[in-house]
Amino acid sequence: MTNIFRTARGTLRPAVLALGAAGLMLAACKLDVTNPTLIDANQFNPAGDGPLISLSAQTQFYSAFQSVVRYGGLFAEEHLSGAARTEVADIGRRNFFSANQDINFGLFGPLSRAIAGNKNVVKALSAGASAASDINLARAEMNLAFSIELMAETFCQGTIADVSGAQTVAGPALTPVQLLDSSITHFTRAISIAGAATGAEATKIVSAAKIGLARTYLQKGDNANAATAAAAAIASVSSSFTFNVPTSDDAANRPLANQIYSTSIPTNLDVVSATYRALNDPRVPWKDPGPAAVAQDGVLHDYQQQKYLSYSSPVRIASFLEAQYVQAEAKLKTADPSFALALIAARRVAGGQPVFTGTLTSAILTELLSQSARDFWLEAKKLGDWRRNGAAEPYLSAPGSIYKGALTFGTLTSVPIPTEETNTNPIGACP
Amino acid sequence: MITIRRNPRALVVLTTLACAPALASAQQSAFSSSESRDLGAPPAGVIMARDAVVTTTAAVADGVVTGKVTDAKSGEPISSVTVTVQGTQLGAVSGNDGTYRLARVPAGPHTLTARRVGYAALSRRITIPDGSTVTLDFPLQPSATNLESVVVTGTAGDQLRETQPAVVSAVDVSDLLKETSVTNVTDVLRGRVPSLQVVSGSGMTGSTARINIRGAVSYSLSNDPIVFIDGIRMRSSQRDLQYVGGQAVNALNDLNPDDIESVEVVKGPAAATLYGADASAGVIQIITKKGKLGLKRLNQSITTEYNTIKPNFTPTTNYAKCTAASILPTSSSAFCSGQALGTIVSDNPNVRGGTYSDGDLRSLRYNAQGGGDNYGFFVSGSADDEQGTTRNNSLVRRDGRASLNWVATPNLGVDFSLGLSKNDYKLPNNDQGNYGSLIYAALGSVTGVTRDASGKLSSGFAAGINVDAISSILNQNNTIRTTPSMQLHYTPFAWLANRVTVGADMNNSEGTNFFPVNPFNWYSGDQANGFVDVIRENANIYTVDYLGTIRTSLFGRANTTSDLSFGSQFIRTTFEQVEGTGIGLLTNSANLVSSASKVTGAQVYTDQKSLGYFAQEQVGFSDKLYFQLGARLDRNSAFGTTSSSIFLPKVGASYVISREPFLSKYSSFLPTLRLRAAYGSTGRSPTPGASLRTYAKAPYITDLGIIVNGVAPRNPGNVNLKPERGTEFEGGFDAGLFHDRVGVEVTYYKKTTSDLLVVNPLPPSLGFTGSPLVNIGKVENHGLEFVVRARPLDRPNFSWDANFIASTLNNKVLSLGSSKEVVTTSLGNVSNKVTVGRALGAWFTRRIQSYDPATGVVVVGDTSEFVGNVLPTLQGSFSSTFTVFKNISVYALFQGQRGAKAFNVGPFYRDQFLGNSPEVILPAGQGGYNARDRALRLGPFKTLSGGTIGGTQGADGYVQSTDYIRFQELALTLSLPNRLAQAVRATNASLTLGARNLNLWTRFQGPDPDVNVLNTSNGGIAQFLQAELFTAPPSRRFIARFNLQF
Repeated sequence: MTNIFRTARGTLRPAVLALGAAGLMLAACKLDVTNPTLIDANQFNPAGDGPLISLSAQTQFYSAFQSVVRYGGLFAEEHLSGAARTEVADIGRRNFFSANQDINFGLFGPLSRAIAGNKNVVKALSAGASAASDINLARAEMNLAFSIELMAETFCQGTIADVSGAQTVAGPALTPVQLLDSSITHFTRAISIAGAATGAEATKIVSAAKIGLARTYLQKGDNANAATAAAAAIASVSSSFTFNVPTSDDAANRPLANQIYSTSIPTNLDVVSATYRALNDPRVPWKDPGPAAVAQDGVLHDYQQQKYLSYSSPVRIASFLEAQYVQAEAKLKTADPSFALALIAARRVAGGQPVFTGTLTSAILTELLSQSARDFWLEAKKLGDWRRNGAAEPYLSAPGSIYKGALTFGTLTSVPIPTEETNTNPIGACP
Repeated sequence: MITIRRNPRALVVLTTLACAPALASAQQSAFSSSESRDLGAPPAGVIMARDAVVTTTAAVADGVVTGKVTDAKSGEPISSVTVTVQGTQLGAVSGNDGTYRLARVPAGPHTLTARRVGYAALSRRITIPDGSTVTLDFPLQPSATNLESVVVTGTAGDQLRETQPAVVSAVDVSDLLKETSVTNVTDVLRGRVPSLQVVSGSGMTGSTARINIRGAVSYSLSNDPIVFIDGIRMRSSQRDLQYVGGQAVNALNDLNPDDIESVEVVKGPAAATLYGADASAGVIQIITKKGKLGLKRLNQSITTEYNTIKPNFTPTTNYAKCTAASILPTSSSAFCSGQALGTIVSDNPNVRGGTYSDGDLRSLRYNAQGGGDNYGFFVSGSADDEQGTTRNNSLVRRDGRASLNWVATPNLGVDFSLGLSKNDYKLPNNDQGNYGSLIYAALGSVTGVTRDASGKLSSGFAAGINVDAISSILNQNNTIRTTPSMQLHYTPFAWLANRVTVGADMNNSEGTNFFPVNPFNWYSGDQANGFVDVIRENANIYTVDYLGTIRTSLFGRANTTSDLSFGSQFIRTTFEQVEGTGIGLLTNSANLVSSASKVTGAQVYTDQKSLGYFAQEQVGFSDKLYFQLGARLDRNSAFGTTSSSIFLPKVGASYVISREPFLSKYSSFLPTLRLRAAYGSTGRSPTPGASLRTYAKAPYITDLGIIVNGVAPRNPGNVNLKPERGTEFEGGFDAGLFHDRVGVEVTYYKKTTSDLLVVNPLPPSLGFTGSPLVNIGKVENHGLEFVVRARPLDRPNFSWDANFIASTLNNKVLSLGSSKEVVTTSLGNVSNKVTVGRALGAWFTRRIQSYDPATGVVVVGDTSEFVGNVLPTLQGSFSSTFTVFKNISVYALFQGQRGAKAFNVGPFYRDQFLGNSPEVILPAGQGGYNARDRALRLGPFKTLSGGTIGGTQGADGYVQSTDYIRFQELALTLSLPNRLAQAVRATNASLTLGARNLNLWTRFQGPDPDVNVLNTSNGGIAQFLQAELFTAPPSRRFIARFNLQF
């Protein structure tokens, strides 16, 4: 036993000394670090800055709108995908499954971020003392309404996250009609709040929201309210009014650039289809860069759109012209073709086309949709037009017809919710 | 032969402890069985011998020990044997003639030990009188088991291998380079360590490789092991300063293999516990060459090497059928105009343009080792110029290393080391990247090839580019790497050793991506009118490490030993990148970022610290039974300073059962047998800030086009985040057979990663751009490792050494919290998934069920099913060295794997989307698919439930087996006759002729299964995307190396 104690004592003393030395050496090593690459939520409270969060969320809507212009345009055949990436091509031929990653990348994700972002702003600013006339709140309401409306036009169903307290939780499945009702609510609030505010932007929000409201009613099938809302918009909005996505040529901020230009002319990803080239309409400008111009996929010839000629070309979201189209279609569907015929006549002049002579409602609708397809080419309108009017929509290939070589068009008429959402928010497949 | 000179005052004490039974009989005449306890226990497991020759001089207190180390069997001198004096910092290394010299050995009793890989260690105990010169020779017995060698990795301090419960694999690089065709560090590891898998990025010079040890332990984090150089943590992750497809620069290969003495590999938590919460994927320790104490002369080595690098593949040819428009006389189609409709034409833009050609390596290396009585030094310098197989692929490396080890007093030693290297890489765009030569050739149109007025054909590449355009793109990565370190050894008492290690690995890199201004409209977008992007990066890792070891006997019994080790380790990793981008240049000479019309900038900075305390107690009984108990307490800044510490325990036992008397009768057949078992745990930490709730910078734009900084929700974070926790059990045995001429090592391992860090994908509808990490799930790897090292033939003029290594792997996701499948990534209809019950990243697609020859319809599954693993379930290698007349050696290494699959995306894409593969265009029997194969790939497809699906759903046939056997290395080394060497005043001269990647036998239908489309060593599902996607395969090398030693 004595030996044991002697050994232990002999061992312990230097061990304690050495451990102490090591501890002293390293005790000074604090683990505090700074990571300026990150914006730590503990260091920043965006809710305290209304303009910042509202304008930031607006940019999320702008981004989503441009994504819908591109991907929705591919789905509705406004242009063809010349990308080597197969997922894009599959969206372009309407033959894909919910696992296609580009559904989320190009459509659902951007729209969801726009909806959640603007809903967060609405949540943060609604309780403010000046909420009734807060331009930042009005802006968010309008952008939220547009975003939800686009989700309803694009997807077979939708979902909107619920912002409750500090937590954001996934919402239930919503039918397109439910989505459109929600959109109508937010457009109405935007009109009300911006109407109580003053200044040029307030006027712009009121005008854009009125047009958006009319379009939403039309999309819902509520033609009477659509006609009324469109008439109200036309009555109060300047004939030259447009609400655009402002874009930038800043190389450091390419997400703020015109995405259609970016994916067509510099990168030959998207090309103009034969159908649209054959229209020979100045509202559908395109060019052939030459015999060697091939799209990225090596298959399609790179016919380039000429509507957006630079990174800084604006993209139209809403306009007086759109209100006229809404009114014309709503009236046509309530047995008054006069507005449609008048608009068709005016737009055919703009397109250099001869006078339209059709008299049947179906023919007038088809022609109206044809004019709409030309006027709003690559403006995220055609998919909604198609969803609303089905077979009457022109310039769409039949299922089974050839798409880019050996591939064929599928049967989808709306975009399924991506698995990225359904795997984590079990709202199920579309009914 | 021993000569004794005795001074009248000299006192000789010869003591011998118990011998290893295996060698007792062999050395019966030399050893006695007497035992001395008063001098303390000898190093465990070594053979104690007597016989020393002592000469003393009265005036000097310290003594000198000299002697010669020889092969006990052949009597030949052995070089590079380390002779140490136990309980001091004194040591020496034998020279080419086997002699060594130890000076300043304090008078008194000492135990000296001689060790070298390939031989059983031998310890001899002597007492040195004042001022004596003692001659002590060491005849070493060859041994294939290496149990008495010292390991420094995975344990506290230097420990004998036989005391370690877990396996630590070692590669003697110094010896390897003498006889093989190894050219870089990853070559050193490939095929030489069981369960270590090296996957090449591509055949491009300088491109990174991915290393997995014992499978994959993480999905979100990198599965690459952490790397240390002489105890200093080094940066081993890839450097991807510029995006060039699926490639990046390999930071591990910055090192010159000629500077490396050995590499030790710790494979999993059972052995890596002391490396803390970042080591669950294993640890690689690189031990560099040092000076040789007591050498008393300068050993110099000059090596010059030349490699020819062959691309080793033929790029694919495009096929097409002439269309109605292209056959018209007015058509611009060079191949189709005037041809009949449907004429099959072909073009190979890469072959026609000469994209790939032979490259070469020119290398000159010098090193010198020397030392005096109390110091040693090593200096080296090398220059490598390598031209890859494309014009814009090269590596220029300048490397220097210096180390000084100084024994200030017998109980105080200091090692200084400084490594400097400058590595300038150029990599071409590759894989799926823009302007990659293979993909842009595949995308080219055969019928679109035109002929100009001079008769010259257009390039055939897509987007109007050509080889000049591709080759003119500069992706340059220049790095200056500085690795200073200092290690202080202090042994105030024979039983107490202290070691402090301080060092850094500082990487200053500059990456440049340059698209020249050109009149040919080669490039589009931001690159159209001249583009330059420069990234400056400082990536530094600092290590401070303390280790104390108390060695003593327990309970007053000399045969019961205690090794108590304790220490702490602090590692800080800082990373900073500053990037400038210039778009639109006037001239190619004015190519600064600031010369551009549009200039942007970006900056990234991260900082991570980890602090750990560890302790380990090892108790040994009678030099044959060892128990080890240890633990580490870790904290890491990735989780915030308020997070709790992580406790990582380890326990194990090693039993050299062959030393038991009851096995002595088998000593000729089984001289060595050790049983071992170990259990340990480690962790793996995420990147800094992973637990934080964050916002992302999201600039907004006003109606006036003004851009203002804004924010968007980025990641909700996870305040409960913890590191992944790896636990491992391993057990096995080491055996020496037939007089230790055959060494066998068998290990079973089972390691489990719990608290698996998985990106918890949030519903996109929540609006976050990122998803938080959560600790859910568990993944398991288990398998068997089998190593045989043998010298089946050993004749005076002929010997044969053979190594066989095999390992199995069963990787399986055991749980994923409440989910069964949380993450997928897909190419077409083929996905890598993390799914319960399957291996990480397993392949899933619609499996082909049947083919009806009558209708041509192929039936596939209704849903994606498991079709294969990414990681091989069996790996193996066989190497063999024949030595003839002691001066000619022939080395060969074969390596193989089975049980994994890769997605052969190139043919899939060419068949399904481009329709330009020979198999699709050519008729059956002339290179085209037969009816069945065509249907299996192109359809028509129906699902089992009768649904019709598109052609691209038929991808099952493209997920192909990567089983292969590769003739990896062949080398013939000729040691030139001494008279030739002496003609240039050299002591030795050798010539090595070799080759790498000589042949490949595989069922994979792409150029090579050993590529990885996104060859990332970073984390995430991309590391499992084992796919060939327009990637240049590993090259073939022919090597000539000439070495002179002075």
